Amino acid sequence: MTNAYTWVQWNTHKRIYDLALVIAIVLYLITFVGLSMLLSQTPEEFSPPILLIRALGTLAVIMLHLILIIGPLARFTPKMNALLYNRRHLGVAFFIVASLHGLLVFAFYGGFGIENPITAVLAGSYRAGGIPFELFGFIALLIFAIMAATSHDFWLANLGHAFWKTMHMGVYIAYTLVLAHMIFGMLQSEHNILYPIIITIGALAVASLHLASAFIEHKKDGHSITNADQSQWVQVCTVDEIKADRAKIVQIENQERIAIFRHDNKLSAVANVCAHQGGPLGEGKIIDGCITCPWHGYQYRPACGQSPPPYTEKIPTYEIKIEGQRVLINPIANEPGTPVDPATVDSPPATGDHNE
Amino acid sequence: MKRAHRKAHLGIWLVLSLALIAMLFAAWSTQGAPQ
Repeated sequence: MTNAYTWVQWNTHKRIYDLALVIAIVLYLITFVGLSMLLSQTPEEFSPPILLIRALGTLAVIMLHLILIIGPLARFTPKMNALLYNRRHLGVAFFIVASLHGLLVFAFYGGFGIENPITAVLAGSYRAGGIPFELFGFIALLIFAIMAATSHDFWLANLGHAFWKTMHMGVYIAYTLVLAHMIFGMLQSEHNILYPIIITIGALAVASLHLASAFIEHKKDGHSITNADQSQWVQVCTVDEIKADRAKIVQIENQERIAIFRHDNKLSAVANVCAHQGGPLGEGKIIDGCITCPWHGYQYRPACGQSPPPYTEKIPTYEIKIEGQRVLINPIANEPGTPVDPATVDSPPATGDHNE
Repeated sequence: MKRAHRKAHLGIWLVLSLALIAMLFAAWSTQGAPQ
């Protein structure tokens, strides 16, 4: 959570993750180069720089696919939230690998300083009359550079998570450019049928997972509660639908989703969107008396939507009341961090897994 | 995610899927062909 910024927000868990990541990267590069030299029938055709360019390129593509499937998979199963927690470090590691691939290409094809590397690489396809696949990779790398540079809570806090998220959706465009880079580049000179098969499986997996998760969310949005007469109070659920220390996520038509939490037999309603990266707060639970985001563990007090000191994040709150068993909400959001009296529940809470 | 991002996510992937299909078609039809 945002209190004081550090260059890298390491903790024990993230250090172990990063160490495993570095070991995996080094092992992949050694294995790729080693096997290529061993299995190649004409080893003189492959110089070490070319093998390293290929090793870094293929590794970057594998890492990019992993990064892109974590998000939609986390929508299908909460078990994947652990991977979301570490996705930023995987993303920056990917950018370093992709940058090394790009730098080595520029250096190698520029004759290590003999020729202008920019024109040597980017004008090569034009001269040959082909599709400028290098340009696709170059533009993708620029997009990834912006993302890696802003992958820090400083930028999230100062740009606002809505703008930051919009900007980081550029990764989807960059992914398409990477595919174009591979299809019109490497694939044109490779005759092994395995390459197009692997690329096709990867692209279909990423696209189908994102489309499926997007359609599921779209369907949920379609089941929103109507408030045609613009009532001040809207019935959203009943008390027994909300389990202890968990939330019920509701959506009133044309509004953001609202999470109604039950803690100590009191109900509080807050925005379902975490102030950090927009995580679904209603899929989290109450820990130590605070709503805890399932993505990165950001916490908020249910009654006021404020993070406990020294943290400063705030989320909007909603007026809430109970009539009999019916839970009613005023759909107009309060300013983030506005204290609201919780509604007291008379009946004992249900227990078990969270519901939505 | 905010509602606007959910809509954008769906829209982007509908468009990108078409682009991916077109590129994969190109990949399969031109793979290994002389340039």
